[in-house]
Amino acid sequence: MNKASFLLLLALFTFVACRPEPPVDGDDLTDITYAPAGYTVDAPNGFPPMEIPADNPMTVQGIKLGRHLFYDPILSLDSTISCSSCHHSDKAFTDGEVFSVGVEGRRAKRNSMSLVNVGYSWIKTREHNFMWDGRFATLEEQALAPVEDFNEMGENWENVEKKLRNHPEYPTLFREAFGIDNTAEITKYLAAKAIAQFERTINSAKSGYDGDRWSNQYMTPAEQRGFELFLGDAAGNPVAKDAECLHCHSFSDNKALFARNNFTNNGLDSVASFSDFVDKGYGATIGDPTQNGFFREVTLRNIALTAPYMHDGRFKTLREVLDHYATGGHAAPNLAPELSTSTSIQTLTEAEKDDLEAFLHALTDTTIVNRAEWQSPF
Amino acid sequence: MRILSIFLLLAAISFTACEKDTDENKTQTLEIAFKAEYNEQPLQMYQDQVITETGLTAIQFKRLEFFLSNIKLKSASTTHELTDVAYVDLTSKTTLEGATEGIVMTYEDVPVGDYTSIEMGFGLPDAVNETTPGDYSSDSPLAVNGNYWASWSSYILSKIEGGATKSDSTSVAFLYHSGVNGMLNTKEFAHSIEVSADGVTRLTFIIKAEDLFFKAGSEIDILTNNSTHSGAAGSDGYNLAKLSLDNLANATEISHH
Ligand code: HEC
Ligand code: HEC
Repeated sequence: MNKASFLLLLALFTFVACRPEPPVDGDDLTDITYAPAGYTVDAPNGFPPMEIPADNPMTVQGIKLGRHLFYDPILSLDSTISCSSCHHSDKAFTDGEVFSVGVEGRRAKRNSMSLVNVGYSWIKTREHNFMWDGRFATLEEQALAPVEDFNEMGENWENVEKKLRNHPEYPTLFREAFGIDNTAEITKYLAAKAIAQFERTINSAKSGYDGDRWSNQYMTPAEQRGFELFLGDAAGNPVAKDAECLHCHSFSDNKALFARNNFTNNGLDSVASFSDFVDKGYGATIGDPTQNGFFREVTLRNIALTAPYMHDGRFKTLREVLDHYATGGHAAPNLAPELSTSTSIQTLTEAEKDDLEAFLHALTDTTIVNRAEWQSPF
Repeated sequence: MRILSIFLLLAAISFTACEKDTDENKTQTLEIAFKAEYNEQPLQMYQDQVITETGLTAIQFKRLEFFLSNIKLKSASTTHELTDVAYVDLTSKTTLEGATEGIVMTYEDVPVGDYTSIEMGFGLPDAVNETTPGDYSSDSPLAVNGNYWASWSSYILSKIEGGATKSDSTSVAFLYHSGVNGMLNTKEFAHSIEVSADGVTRLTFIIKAEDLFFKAGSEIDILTNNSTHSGAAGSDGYNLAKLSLDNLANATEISHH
């Protein structure tokens, strides 16, 4: 080998060496700056400051990582499905399907749920906060589940951790978010924390109802009439017709979720005994058959964007939902007393249903559909 | 000299230790248990109770929960407030085991001593009723939207729900929600209560569920009055709601066994 070719070779080596190598599992990350910037959730009008679990403080970098993970199909078996596949921002983070579609065309067991203002459904001391059946206490716990759900992402976390550790960008994002020193410290728990941080930023309350309440942009007469039916005789007038909605989709001025977030049977199915419910819901979660067929009383914010409705997506339209409630609910040994004691829900006229429907539309916040900071970062 | 000082020191230490030992400065844990019974048997939710009231053959409870406020231990010389707000929720007591256990609220650092009564409000003071769920951290019962009526601007003070079987075998559901200002029912239970230095003291309260409806003089007729969401003061809804809360206070007694 002559001198010239030796030099060339050397130059080549140096060149290759200088090109940044993608980190691999076990790589040191301490060269990358760790300077997390704290983030405070901007509570919408009518919402209190959001409570954040002490072991997962929010940072700009954590949210950025969470947003990447939320939109990245790397979490799924065949890189086809991301969280966003079943939670689209233009449908208030639901997907329009009866049962969501997962990997290889498999179907999730239930209807997708909205993630707007989801951080507000966390009750610190309660074990059952999330999902239709309340099986998760925290968003962090929930975020671990879709990856290993056979029908959803069909993957396992061990593989996902490997993919993340050997990825060209994630090690840096994890370092910046959590200050880990080595790619080997990338875990599913940190991934879940980051996703939960991103979810806690998805808050908005700029609906017709909010305009009426906070900025003198009044609801239309039909929406107003619908609101009064929604509130019912509790509105200070015992003779007003009561659609009973407020019991379970409750709100208060400074916590306007329109969700009681308890679990009840809103009368979807007629069953003779507790064991006859097809989907046992909350009863299965807590192992108490008297609560079979109970599902969570979810938020009605943005409800016009989240069809089809109920845990099994059985109703295509809000009108079908109202027609259901106007039956007073089907008989079951645990049908909610709020419905079974109602004296007026069965007498709702078509015009009154129109008004209720108008009010439900007044809970839509159209600004959420394309908010830049919630879109895919890719 | 050295021995003397050691003795002195020792004496001083024992003296201090003795002083700390007097009951006056000691505290202990007090537990307050609540359970519901029907005719002296643990009341399970979703279980029929056979009854012989006019027109009814069975009653079944499905929800029993309520606010308590300003729970205080009293003696001639002192008052010790255990808490300003508590929430008794017996709705999950669907099994015999659960119903027998009831719920237990634990108060630490209660001054040791002999008390002569315990006082508590069934419901909430009007001032608390002026606040709203967003004012509280989510671990407070006052933070729960479902415990609040937006349109009354009031907490729901108590919820009694269930159903009954009529003599003709058809059924009737019931729901009594109390709320709005002016309903608080403060009750003092005379009872000699020793908060002992030796260990945890437990006080058990029993709600005699049959008295919610069938106690002579304060009956609620499920057939004619099966539901109230409360209402403006003086209205029928208000009166029925207040009666349901008063009945709850009156159905509650300290267990003597
Ligand atoms: C295949 C579709 C699918 C995918 C993929 C998916 N979800 Fe969901 N999501 C659902 C369905 C269906 C439910 C309700 C399931 C239930 O209650 O059993 C749900 C519920 C939730 C909830 C509960 C909301 C509430 O109010 O309780 C959260 C939070 C959530 N998903 C976040 C995520 C995250 C984060 C990911 C990615 C890691 C993800 N989802 C991936 C379909 C999906
Ligand atoms: C007894 C409590 C209760 C009452 C009263 C009640 N709901 Fe519901 N609502 C629920 C529960 C529980 C669910 C979820 C049920 C399921 O999916 O199985 C639900 C679901 C819904 C949904 C579908 C939510 C979604 O994301 O798919 C709509 C819409 C709705 N309710 C509207 C109303 C309206 C309007 C009223 C008044 C006419 C009303 N509800 C009264 C308990 C109640």
